[in-house]
Amino acid sequence: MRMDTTTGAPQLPAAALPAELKELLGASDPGSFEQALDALIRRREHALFHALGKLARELHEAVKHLASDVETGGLAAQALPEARRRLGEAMSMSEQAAHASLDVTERLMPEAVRLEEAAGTLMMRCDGLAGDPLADDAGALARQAAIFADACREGLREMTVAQSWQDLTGQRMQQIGGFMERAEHVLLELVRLAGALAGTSPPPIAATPGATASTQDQVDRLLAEFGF
Amino acid sequence: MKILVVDDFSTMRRIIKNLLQELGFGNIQEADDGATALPMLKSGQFDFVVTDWNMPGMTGIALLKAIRAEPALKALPVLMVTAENTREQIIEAAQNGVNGYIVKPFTAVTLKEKLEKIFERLATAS
Repeated sequence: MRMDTTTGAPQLPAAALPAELKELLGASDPGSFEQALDALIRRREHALFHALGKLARELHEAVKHLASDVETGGLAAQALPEARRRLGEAMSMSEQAAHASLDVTERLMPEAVRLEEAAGTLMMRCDGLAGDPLADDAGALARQAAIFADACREGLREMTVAQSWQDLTGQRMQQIGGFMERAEHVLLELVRLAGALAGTSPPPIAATPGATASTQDQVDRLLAEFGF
Repeated sequence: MKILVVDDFSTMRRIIKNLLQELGFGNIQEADDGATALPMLKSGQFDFVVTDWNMPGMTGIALLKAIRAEPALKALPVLMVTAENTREQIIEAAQNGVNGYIVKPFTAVTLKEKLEKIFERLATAS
């Protein structure tokens, strides 16, 4: 055989050529050439399908083991749904706690407003009675009450805003819950797939060239289950 | 002034409602997502919307787009109060005509300042 010398590729000695290639090159007519070419291609395909089949079998075993671990541990069937339920409970409890705090702020806020208004009214009345010791004392107390009521309003406002932690943590818990649900579905699908594969375990791949066609079908069927 | 507060978390709706009441706004209604809010806006003669971004069903940004696309609502002021704070999201909200953007967690002072700024701009524009 002469290699393409224009590319500078080295020439191979005829003895180094594979038997099937020698057979192909030695074909005396178009019919035997086609036959030799088909045989060559079949051998190459067989090697490829054999490798793919081996890969598919290994993947199948790995999936089976993983699914078995998942089933044994009850991860998809019990642990994940239980974890999601608990997360939901935590969210619900945090929501109740935040609402309970808001109940308190809503109840006290109008009280603080009323105290501030009443203290303001009393301060004005006491100012009109300047010199009366009792009025002076009452005026001072009213001033303290007004300052206290104002501080209460500010504090209650801060308490109200602080409850936004529930919204922010709740959003994160929702995201985690969503992720867990997706993971659960994937694991259940894996278990289902492994079960399906276990019921139709791949037949052994024949090593003889004559069995190539059936092996290819078997490999194709197996690969189809993996979405090939 | 009639205000609609839109958030999927009842806690946050209550917080915003309380703060708005503290600031003197008494007529406040609530919706838990954009899909609930939109028909309310179409029939309710609201003057202002405070909305979250991330909600199931219809999100806050989708609600904003729907408001701007509706001839009867397109001038309605919208304040977004959200934990979503990426540059792209803020730009998207701005490009769709949001009137104000508050990032959670926020303070009562921030809410007051943003509201005042929105009303100032609206008064200048009209």
